Amino acid sequence: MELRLCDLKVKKMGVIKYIQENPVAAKLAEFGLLPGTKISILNKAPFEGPIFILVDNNRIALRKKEAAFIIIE
Amino acid sequence: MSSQKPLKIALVGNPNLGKTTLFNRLCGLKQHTGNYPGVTIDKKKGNHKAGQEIIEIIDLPGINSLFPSSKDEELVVDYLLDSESADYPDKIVLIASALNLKRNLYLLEQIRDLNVPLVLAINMVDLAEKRGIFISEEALEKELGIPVVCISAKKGTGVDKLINRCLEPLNIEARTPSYIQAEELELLQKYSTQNGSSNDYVSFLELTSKTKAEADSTAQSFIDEHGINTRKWKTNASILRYKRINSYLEKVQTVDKTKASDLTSKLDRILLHRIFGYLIFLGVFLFIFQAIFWLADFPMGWIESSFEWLGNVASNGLPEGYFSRLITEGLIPGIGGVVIFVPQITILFLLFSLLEESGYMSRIIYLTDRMMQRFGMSGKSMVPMISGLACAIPAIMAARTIENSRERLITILVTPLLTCSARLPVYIVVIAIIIPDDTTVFGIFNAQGIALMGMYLLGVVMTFIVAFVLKYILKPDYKSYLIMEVPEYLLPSIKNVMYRVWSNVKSFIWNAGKIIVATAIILFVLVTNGGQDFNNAQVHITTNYPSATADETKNLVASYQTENSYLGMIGKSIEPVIEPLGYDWKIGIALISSLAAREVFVGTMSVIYAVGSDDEMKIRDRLKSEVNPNTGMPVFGIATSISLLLFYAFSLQCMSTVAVTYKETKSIKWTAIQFGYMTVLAYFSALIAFQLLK
Repeated sequence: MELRLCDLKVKKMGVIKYIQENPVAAKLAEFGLLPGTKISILNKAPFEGPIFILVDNNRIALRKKEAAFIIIE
Repeated sequence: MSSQKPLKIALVGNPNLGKTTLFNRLCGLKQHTGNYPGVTIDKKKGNHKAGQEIIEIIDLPGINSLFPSSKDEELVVDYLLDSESADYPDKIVLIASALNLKRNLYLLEQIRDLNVPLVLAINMVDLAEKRGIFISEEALEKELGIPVVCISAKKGTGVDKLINRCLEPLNIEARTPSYIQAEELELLQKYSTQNGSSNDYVSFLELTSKTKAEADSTAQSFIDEHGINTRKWKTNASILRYKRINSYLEKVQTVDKTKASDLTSKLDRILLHRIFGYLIFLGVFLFIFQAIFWLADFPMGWIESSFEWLGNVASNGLPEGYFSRLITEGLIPGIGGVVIFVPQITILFLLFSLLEESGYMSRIIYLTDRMMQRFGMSGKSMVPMISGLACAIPAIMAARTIENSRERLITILVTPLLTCSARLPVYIVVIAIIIPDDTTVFGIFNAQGIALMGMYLLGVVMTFIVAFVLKYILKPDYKSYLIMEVPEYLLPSIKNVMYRVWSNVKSFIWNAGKIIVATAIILFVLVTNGGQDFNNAQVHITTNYPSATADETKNLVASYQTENSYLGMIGKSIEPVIEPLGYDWKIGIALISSLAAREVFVGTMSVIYAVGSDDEMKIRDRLKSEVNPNTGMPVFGIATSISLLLFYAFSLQCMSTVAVTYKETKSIKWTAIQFGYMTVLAYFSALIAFQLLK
């Protein structure tokens, strides 16, 4: 079972293993979400809301749906 | 480029990097918002004086990359790609933040490949040094081959140097593409040759942009013919670019981790907390509300009394005559009706820019996204919706940042239901008629204030109801997403906030003022002229009321004249339509004249009732004492007043909003639907309320 970014707990860290082919793949890459990048979860909004992450000293908010494409190791 | 023309510099960069701070620093108050002919790109222009030379500075909206994902970004990218245009800048200054260099260099690398004259300004170096981040101008300049200047826009350090570097001649040459793999590059070059394009990266953007490729059949057929996966191209381009940036980043930037402070994370732990975060958000919202009403109350009182005083001075000082009456009975009450809202608008824009400058606005988007999704909108819809509490026009334009076209359309369609400041005068006057001053609820809350809050809530509730309905009517066209950079918390720059408030208030006074003054004059002319009945008023009254005293006769003549003026005739002709709502022809005139802009209502009422009366009564006392000659009952009873409040809450009486909706949607259909649904909603809710309450 692969670990998805959206399943990662708050304050946990991970490294992006790969990103599944998806409609917003180009957008994710643009924001620096690339394989090998260290990533940590800062916050999760309640009721399945967006996820707040730290990538390269850069804070990014994204929805759960998008975070599900990012596979973590 | 001729040397007589001023040098043109465009400021480009990711959002929230202090681009506007730099712009304000360079141009001061010598700035104005303008639009390019054809496309409306929300850019600001200003002049900067460097010695004897005048330099024109253009501030463009922030973009994340040259792959646009919202209307906003698309317009900026189109502007940057159109290097043949006469409007094209001589130099592009890319603003990066020293706190987030890697991410900002990504945009720089993209623009560099357009082979346009580019200068890099790295902002917030002072803040970065405190955090232990040091950047070497020289090393970065060597890597990039373009001028690099470290600045602090807030303090002004390095800004003169930046301008001097911009004045230097600069030769930019094409470089080896680092955004594409060798075998794909061949394809790209083939496309460039086929199209006679001299720049491969422009070709790349043409092929990978969804909207451009769809519009251009040669691009689309080239993609199909060679089976190009454009999304893959874009993804790989980003990977390759970050690889390149990583290869030199360590040479140009040193980070001393021991100095890192993380105030933002600490603040976020509270402000984004799943319970406290929302409570604080609610608190912030309520505070904005309270500030608009209670804080603004004092200056509004002063303005009201100054205009009363001005009216008195003018009517005593000016010679008798038609022109003097035009000023005292038409212009002064008309202008007073606009100026009175300046305090509220100022406070709203002030708080609004504080929210944006501090970085809290992005947190609002984050916190509310889930809820907004249920109503077919995105967290980003919160920004237009909050500014819709001031005015729907900038709000509808702010919807440009919403990527998904369906979410954007819903936001545009519902935003005018929110209580904008133009409705306030109507609410305040009408509420004061039905609820006496100093009435309190539970002995502490001002009852008028609560009624006003109720009207705001009504607007908010209706906004969400309509959005919810639209969500089911409109089919989703493509998948909606949210990927957003969230800035660090920063202390707002007082200067920036002040400039923003100033330019917004100025444009409110100017735009609303023009319409109101014009309407006031037209109304005055229409109400003081009429047909035969109007001219024979004196005779008519003296024959019908022979026993009236001189004073009574004067009043009777005045009201008979108003009724038979051209304006009265217009009002009477629409009476059958508005009678079921509980309105008489005088209110009818106010409705018609406020089709141009709602706030005209109070001015119109002032003009209609001021004409021919001597006493200096306040408008609401005058309305209160107005009696229906047929029934002997007050015209503004509870039923009529509530019906009027509902009508103004829901109807789209604002031509500027209609115009801006058309401009933004480019669709007559949606503009008509917006106007139509709001009018129907207004008419029927007013009808039902009046029929139930009368």
